Amino acid sequence: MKILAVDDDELIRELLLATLEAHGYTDVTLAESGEDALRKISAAGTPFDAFMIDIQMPGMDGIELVRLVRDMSRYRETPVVMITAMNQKDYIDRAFLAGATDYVTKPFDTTELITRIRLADKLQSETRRASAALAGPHHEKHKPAYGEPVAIEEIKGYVSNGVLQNYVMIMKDQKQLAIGAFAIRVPELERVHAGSSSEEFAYVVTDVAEVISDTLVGTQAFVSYIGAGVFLCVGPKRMLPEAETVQDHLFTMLNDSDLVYCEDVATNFSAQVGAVSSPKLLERRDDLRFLERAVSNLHSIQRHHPLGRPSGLAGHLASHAA
Amino acid sequence: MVHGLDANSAAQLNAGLARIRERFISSLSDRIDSFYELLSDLQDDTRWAESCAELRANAHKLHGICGSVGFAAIGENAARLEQKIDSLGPDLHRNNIDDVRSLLNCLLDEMEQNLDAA
Repeated sequence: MKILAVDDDELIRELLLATLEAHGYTDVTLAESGEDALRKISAAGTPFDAFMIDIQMPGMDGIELVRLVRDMSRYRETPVVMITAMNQKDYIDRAFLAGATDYVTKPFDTTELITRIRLADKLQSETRRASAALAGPHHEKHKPAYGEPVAIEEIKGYVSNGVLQNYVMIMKDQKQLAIGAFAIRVPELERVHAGSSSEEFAYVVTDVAEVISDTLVGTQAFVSYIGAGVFLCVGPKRMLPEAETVQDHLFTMLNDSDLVYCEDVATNFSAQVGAVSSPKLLERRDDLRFLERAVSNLHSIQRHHPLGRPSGLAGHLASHAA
Repeated sequence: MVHGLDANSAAQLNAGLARIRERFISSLSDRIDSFYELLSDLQDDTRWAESCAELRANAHKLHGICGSVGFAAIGENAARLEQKIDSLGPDLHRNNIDDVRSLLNCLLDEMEQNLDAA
């Protein structure tokens, strides 16, 4: 894996190099600033497979550098691990919104650092496999199953499932504030999937993701599509909106054809919004069962309202304070 | 033994970390001098704000590297100084930098003790 590590502190650069090389990552390029990183990216014969970028640097800071990297088509999906001594939520959120996929804090724990790089390595391999499958001549024959995630790009607050899990682990690690997760199911996506090409399905899922993201503006929540018509939303618990409010907004917006349009399958859309689930006190940092619980919370809605939008929302559609 | 590494790689990493630690120790004296200059500039009517910004940047760097090379206490002092300057934000003016000065003195004490012991 070819890595570009960017930090203005020479000793940190050496530390990164020593740690990465000892763990078998020997193709490492170092840059001392955002500007130096851009020069090295331009000059690279073969593209980098991962970036490690310090947030706070003189001149161009790491968040601006991530934005510029993400604007380059070949680096849209490349893992970016932010490295910084600042662990405030604001910095973490800004880094993820700019396109970071993970985050490590200084001072480094070498085991933790390598864990993050191995996760980046895994993410990069998965992205490559998915791109190769899509680029293949017969990819329509291998249309992804309904239960599989769909790649969505360039929606503010939208992240892939792997990145969402990284974000959750960091938030749990920082213990800065209580986080909560809730799931949204758009059941009609199953019909859209059955009756349209994979490309058309991806367009519709992207439209729906954008509507959900717009609905959650101001809540600092991140959204991810996990497959089977289900979107997972994670954010500060106290800022998450009431389920009923989300559902009403979604019902209106999803049925605005300027916002969500499906050429192949004519359908109205509905949305089921589950109750919020939170990590339990004694759960470990990497224990992400509360995300599964958020998805499970949708099942009770399905049992009661199998056809979609329920008429009376109050009862089992528990409020987010549940 | 470093977790997850064979003996050769662990030895290679430990040797690399030892070199970085030595270089950090060699840099301590210059870092101390630089902090003393900034401490003095804090008294200067025309330069105190600029010095405070530079102080924050230097403290941030120190905070980043110290814990990774075995000087956690210096790192913690540097982090406190950085956070203090951040917390003052737009309220930062000459009359309320006594806390900054006090935290800088604590940091300098810690750095000097470690330099003496190294």
